[in-house]
Amino acid sequence: MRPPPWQGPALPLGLCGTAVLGLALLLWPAARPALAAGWLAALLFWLGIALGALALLAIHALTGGRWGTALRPVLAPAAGSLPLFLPLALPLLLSLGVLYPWVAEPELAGHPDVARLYLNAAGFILRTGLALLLWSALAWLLLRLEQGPARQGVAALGLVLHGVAVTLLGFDWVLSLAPHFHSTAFGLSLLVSQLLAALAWAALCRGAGEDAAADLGGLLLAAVLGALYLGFSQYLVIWYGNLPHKAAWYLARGASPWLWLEALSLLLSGLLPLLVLLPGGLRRSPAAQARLAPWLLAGLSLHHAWLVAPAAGPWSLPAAALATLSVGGLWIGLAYRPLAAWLAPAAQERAA
Amino acid sequence: MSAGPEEALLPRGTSYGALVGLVADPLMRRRAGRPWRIAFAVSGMLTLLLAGCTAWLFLRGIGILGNNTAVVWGFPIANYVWWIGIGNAGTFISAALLLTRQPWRAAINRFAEAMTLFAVGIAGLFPILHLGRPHYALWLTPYPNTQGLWPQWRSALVWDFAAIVSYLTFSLMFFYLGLIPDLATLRDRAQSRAGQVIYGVLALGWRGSARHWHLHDTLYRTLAAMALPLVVSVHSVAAMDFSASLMPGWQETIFPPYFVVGALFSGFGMVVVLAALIRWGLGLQAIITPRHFAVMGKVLLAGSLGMALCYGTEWLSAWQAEDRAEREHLRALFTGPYAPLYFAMLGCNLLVPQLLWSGRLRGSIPAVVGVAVVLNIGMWLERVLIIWNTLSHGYLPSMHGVFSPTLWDWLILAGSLGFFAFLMLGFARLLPAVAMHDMGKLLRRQRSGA
Repeated sequence: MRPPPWQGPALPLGLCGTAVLGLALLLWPAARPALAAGWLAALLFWLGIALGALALLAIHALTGGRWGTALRPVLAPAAGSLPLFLPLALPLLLSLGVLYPWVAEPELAGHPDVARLYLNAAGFILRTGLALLLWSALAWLLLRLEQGPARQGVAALGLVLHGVAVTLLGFDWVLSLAPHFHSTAFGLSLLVSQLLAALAWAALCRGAGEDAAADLGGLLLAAVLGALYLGFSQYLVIWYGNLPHKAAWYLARGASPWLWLEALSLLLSGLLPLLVLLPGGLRRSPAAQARLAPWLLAGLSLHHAWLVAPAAGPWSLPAAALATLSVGGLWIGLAYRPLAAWLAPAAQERAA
Repeated sequence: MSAGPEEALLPRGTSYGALVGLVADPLMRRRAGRPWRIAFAVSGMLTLLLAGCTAWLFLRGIGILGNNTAVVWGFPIANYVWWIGIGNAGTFISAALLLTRQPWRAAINRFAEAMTLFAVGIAGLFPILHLGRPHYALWLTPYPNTQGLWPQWRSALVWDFAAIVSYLTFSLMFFYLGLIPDLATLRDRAQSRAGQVIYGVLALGWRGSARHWHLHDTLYRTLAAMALPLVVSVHSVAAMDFSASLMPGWQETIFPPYFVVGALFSGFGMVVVLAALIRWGLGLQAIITPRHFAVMGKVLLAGSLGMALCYGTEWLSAWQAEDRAEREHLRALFTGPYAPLYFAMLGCNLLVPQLLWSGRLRGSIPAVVGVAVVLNIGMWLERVLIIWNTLSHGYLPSMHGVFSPTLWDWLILAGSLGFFAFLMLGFARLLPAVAMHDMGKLLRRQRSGA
């Protein structure tokens, strides 16, 4: 495995980015919604890689296969870093009032029951906290337990809870930005795009080596197809139904500049990977995978910005770019140095 | 992408010749036993019953069924979705397990693919049966006609027709391609002239040369890779028949993946049941082992958990919806006239499969088969209730109405089950129920690993 890119300057970059965002917040309080939306887009992207890594570790604990063993040095620190997202989610939790309209106007949550029992600030914070604690605990167990029935049990139960947690997180963090909009496949779609992000991250770090490169290529292709399928089927159902409260969500995201953002995202994380991964020779080449991965990840990052930013206006795009640098810098800087070193003996034991 | 330990999949010390004998001898050297004859006769009668009911339906019209102005889809479309779901699994299982290099595939893929062909064929009958004017089914095809009429390509139903026909054609090709080397084996082992000629013609001159194998493997793997998106598309398009409408409970984006998960769940359930019957009927205990059932049990458990997630998401989303009809729909699921059936469905699909968390029960063939039968009943109930619940409680209260199936509904369902059994029984006597050449490859891998 190669170290992740920019590992050297990651932490200083992350700290600088966070400081700039903090300064912007102080100097320009009106930009708070845009900054919060930017932070949310960045969190979704980086947390997505970590959660994808956790899900892949759990899947591998159940199915076995050489790909999982090969990718473990990349996936383990990513999944092990999940507790870091507890403090990283704090800026989001402190900005609920400026980002989510239902905080100020509970009637937007729909039925009064929903506002009282589910979609309120306390519920949001509780669900986010519990989900992050659950993922942290799962990662810790999967990384510490020896392969055997206990680890398989944790992985099986963990995947079920993971599915529930990702669905709820997707509904809360993203869809409740427009509380009238519901899309039941959104959680599943988020889950698959997280798997894709983690696989692309592994390809970027050349985690598979020569041995498992063919498997990684196949998995990447399957994940790209899965993400495209779920994204398109949501759009198709809503386009076909053409119900105002559902269509409005897509109409807002179909206006300029958001349309171009998603078009670029589809090009980078949909069309380009398909063109590269369909020919067998390229699909099996670790070098081709590593060259494809940054573009694919950039496409996914743009997709997250497309989901979130229209709720807060175009200024959230530069905020998202800066926040992606900040969260990413902090994450790479902390996860892949101290954590990788801490996990390394355990990883070697497993490999042996 | 894994290759687990293979020691329990094949008997120790076995040879390729012995494996071929085990699979081919029931076809070539043994006469059908009494249980097969009885089953064939009963299923033949049920097939005649289906033909008779269909004829009566065409003569009298769909008034003989329980379909009414509220629940217009009734049993036929529920049966269609159930059968197409079962039909989804065979090709998927075969292709996905090939691409992920699962060694336990070899014992089950052949009859699973046959199951797909028969189930999809039967599924395709039901939409035609419920048309009322079945001779207009032709209008779904883009045929050249003097009026210059074309199907409405914005209709999900037209896409559904195209998806089923493509899938059936593809599955037939995939099945036949996998069968060619085994047909050549049967040609070489056939003792009668007729057998030699028929299997010989079907084997297309297969000699088993290195070049043949190379081309065969390349094409087969390519088709397998194409099969996966196709399988997903078929049931997704079937789901679009529902979600493209604006009815409460149907206009859900999760329907396409949810239908696919449900299809694989019920299809795997049917494979488990067929595996047990074929194992017993053809004496294939050495090839289809308890380990196969244990692994399939895990898949069933995963399918059940996936279904639970889909149900939960639907409930949460309907509860949060502003639309009064959505919340009413949710209430009707648990308290409406079909609530007992809904609870039974949840019990069959969600509760009973949880038994498979126990490794001891997964190791017991009767337990896994029992769960598979229960979940297939549950999945049939689910298909029925998706239609009944939504159509019984649409937007217009004046259009609310309950569905009561008639005798003809039940007879057609029983006839379709009989027809499926009839086709599977015929398959089991005419073609090798297990892919012999794949077993040979497994044997070579086992030996080289030993």
